[in-house]
Amino acid sequence: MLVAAACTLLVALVGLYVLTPLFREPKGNLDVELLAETELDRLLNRKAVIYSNIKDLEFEYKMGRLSDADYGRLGAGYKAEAALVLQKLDQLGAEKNVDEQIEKEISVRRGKLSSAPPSQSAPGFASCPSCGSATVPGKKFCADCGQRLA
Amino acid sequence: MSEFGNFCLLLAFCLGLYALLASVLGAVQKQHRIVRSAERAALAACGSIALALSSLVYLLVTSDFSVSHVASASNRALPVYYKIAALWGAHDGSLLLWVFVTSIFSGIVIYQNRFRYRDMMPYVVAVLMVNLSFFLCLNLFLSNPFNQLVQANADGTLQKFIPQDGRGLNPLLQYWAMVIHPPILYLGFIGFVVPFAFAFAALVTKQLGDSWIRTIRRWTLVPWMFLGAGLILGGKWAYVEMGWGGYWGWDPVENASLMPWLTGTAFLHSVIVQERKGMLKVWNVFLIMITYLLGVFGTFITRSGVINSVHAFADSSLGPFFLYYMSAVFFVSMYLIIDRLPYLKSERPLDSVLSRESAFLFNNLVLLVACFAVFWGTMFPVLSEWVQGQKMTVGPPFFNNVNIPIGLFLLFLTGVGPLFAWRKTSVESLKKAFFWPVIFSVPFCAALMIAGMRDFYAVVSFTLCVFVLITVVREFYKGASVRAKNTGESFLSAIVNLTLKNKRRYGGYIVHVAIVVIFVGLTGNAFNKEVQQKLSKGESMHIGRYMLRMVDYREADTPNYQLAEVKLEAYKDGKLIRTMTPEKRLYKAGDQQTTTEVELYSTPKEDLYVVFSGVANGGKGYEIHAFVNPLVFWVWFGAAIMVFGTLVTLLPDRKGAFVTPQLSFSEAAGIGETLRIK
Amino acid sequence: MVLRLLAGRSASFGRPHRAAPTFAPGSVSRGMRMKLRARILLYIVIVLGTPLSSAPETADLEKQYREAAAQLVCQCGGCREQLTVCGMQNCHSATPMRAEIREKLQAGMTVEKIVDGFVARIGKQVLAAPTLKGFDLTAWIMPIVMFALGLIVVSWIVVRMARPAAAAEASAPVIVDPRVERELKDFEEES
Repeated sequence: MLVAAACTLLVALVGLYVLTPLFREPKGNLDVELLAETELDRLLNRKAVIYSNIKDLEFEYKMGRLSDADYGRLGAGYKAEAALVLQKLDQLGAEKNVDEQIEKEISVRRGKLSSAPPSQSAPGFASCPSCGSATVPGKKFCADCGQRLA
Repeated sequence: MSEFGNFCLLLAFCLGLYALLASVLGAVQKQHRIVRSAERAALAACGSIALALSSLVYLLVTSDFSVSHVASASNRALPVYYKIAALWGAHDGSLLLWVFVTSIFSGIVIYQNRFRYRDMMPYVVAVLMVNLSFFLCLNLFLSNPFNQLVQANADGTLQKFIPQDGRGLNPLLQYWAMVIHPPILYLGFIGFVVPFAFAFAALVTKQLGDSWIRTIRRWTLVPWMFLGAGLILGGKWAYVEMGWGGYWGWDPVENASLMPWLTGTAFLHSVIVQERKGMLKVWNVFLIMITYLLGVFGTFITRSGVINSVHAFADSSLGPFFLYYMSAVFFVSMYLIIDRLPYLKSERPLDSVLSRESAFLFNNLVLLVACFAVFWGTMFPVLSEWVQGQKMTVGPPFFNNVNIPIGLFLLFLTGVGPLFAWRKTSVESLKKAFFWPVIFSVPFCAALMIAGMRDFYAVVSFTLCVFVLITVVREFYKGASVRAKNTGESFLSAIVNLTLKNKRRYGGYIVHVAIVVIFVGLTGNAFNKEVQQKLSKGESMHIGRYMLRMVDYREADTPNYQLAEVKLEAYKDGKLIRTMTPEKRLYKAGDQQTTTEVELYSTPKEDLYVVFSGVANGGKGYEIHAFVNPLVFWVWFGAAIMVFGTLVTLLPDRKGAFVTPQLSFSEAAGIGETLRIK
Repeated sequence: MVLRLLAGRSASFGRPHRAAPTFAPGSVSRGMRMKLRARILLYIVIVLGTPLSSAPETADLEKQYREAAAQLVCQCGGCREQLTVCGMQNCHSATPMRAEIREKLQAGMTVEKIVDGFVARIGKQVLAAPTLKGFDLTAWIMPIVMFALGLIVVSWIVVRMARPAAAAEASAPVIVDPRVERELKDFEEES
């Protein structure tokens, strides 16, 4: 009897805990495309990796593990690679103020989650030529309709 | 209580299945609330399993023998802590512990990432829940610890049956290292499910950049550390409880836990190459899958009874299920890997053949071959019976002959790897790098030969140990002097700061030192001595520098067991060092098993290991088996260094550009979302 | 209860529990225990096939004995351990086997002959490691084959992956960006 009561109570508690999100959380879509790692993320991360590689190279050189020639050549190679990444970031036009970018990103999401009409996209953002919803810089496709973006 | 426990287990199973379905549904429909609900269900499953575990502990502590697990693994006379340890004294309870550990891991991961990686998490949850539900299913329907004992009446009806006392915990398990060994090993075995889940999710969502690698860095190190510690604790237990003078017998179960450790080690190395160079992506995904599968395979071996083993819980009904599960995981993952090959392309080429990157590749190769050799030897009896219908034994002579050379080659690579620079090393700088290690190790090798050491492997091993040690010391020395020069710190604080600044590299080097120390201990095996002799009171025996003189014999009784012990005076070079009392115990519960209690006199140089084998010649002689095992101490000490080194690597990162990634859009969006919800 | 020859290693973790449901009520009754108590001697007395070291054994014979015993596995059905390792007391398999080895050694048989004798009588499973003949050879060869194959594959990969780097290096345009140096300096401070 006691066991049965305990079990029932447990099921009730667990059920409440598990099922509340279904009703209490907003019905908004989980926009995987928007949440995914962006090109900007990738480039910033790549840059950090290259820089730490260069730092490491300098350290190993100071430890005497590399010849002068190797150090010079490898270092120049890395720096060229970093420069290339910087160029790409420039092309994205997003590198200068990441914080601002994130702020915008959030406001876009908010706008979307509150199921505002697609035309009311956040200011300062490009919109999709097909459906008119806001697009994220660096994205190849529109998050809403899948239209290929320039 | 047992009904309640059983119910909790069933509830957890339902929750696991619900979480699995809901997370996939949520991901497919992109419905965030469904994913949330799935995550909550997973957490609730953890709680439910914890309740089930607590009720089994309660049953054990209160000695409720109507439950079959309690009746078969515990008895009244057992001290309370062994009653709790009896949880993993039989296969059904140990499976529950396994499930519990799995659920804890899953729960932590899900909670930790509740705002992060929202795109990947549904699939992570799904993989974790597949894993959990599978083991829960076995635990519920095939090997349930809450089963009640029943007795058949004469008319065929069944009736509840409560025995007077339990059969008792296997006396071999009544030892401290054994009490903590299974949970620690489990933490290691099953922990690899987390990196596997992330790899799988990365494959599904096609996000094969750096983020999944970053997340699982710690999640790979933690199980790796536990697995290593578990292996050595198991060795310690075997050494003290088995009484045959050794700690590693290439038993299938030992092999099963060694294999994921080897592939895990390979993964830890090659993942660095991926992080730095964006290379080896396919290989890493494959490695982590294999590591996870080998963990499951380890469980399979211990539980299925396919292979005869000292501590395999023979319960063959589980076998096929493990096989289905493992093949399903294997084929689905392989399909995904092949399907996502375009996303797994290397980002950069290899700069040079002579580089750290290629050294890592060869290290991976050797680790994998070692793993294969162990696997092959373990499975060969099964294969042989299948192919030639002939029963076979593949024992220590095979494993030692095959794995000692491989192990030494690995040790060699441990020393050589750090001498290569990343990207490219010129032959010139290699010559310079090899100079000091060789200068030290070659004369050392010669000295060993002159001192009369003739065992080939032992000489090679000790020489390599010196070689590796010198390279690691130089790594610290040179690093610290460069840093001291750059920053003006004192040399000592430069060493500390150097390590703290690049915890992974220098923590890794500490682990390398640990490996060297362990190898020193293992090599001691080549010089083991043993003497078996019959003594009467007053007589003595000699072994190496030691003399044992028999003083007394007595029998005694405790609630748990009866014992017979001999009292021996141990002399070293003629000086009394201590009195040793090796015991023979006869446990009262269950099968009335006898065990030997070894007496150890342990020094860094050697262990004197004394076993009382029994009474001979009608009570006139006492059979003493004495061993002198050189350098065993260093195996345990090395394990401690290994744990320390791993902990250094695991220290929380200081804020830095590389170590803490910038808040990515996905994270920001996750936070933004929670803000909105509130 | 039958007086059983019990042992350290043979009674494994799980094995005793397999018989769990066959509890006979009263199997561990008090009276039984009293008898058992008196029996401890019975349990720990060693049964010796031949008196151990009664004849002065030379070091050479002992060495040969160890060599033979290490090649053979206890056939008790549980432990599958080498005769040098099996710790089961009065093991119904290991004890007579050990005695037999000593006996035959003293009779002047070679280690090889003794081991062959066991194989002929019991079968190949008495050996601790696979032989070097026939199918058994694959046990030894496969790890070597895998190593060789792996070595070839890894070398091939390394060489192939390294080649485009050399080619790219020759043709790559060197871009110099002053921002790189500047950011590198900041990077140092950050990390």
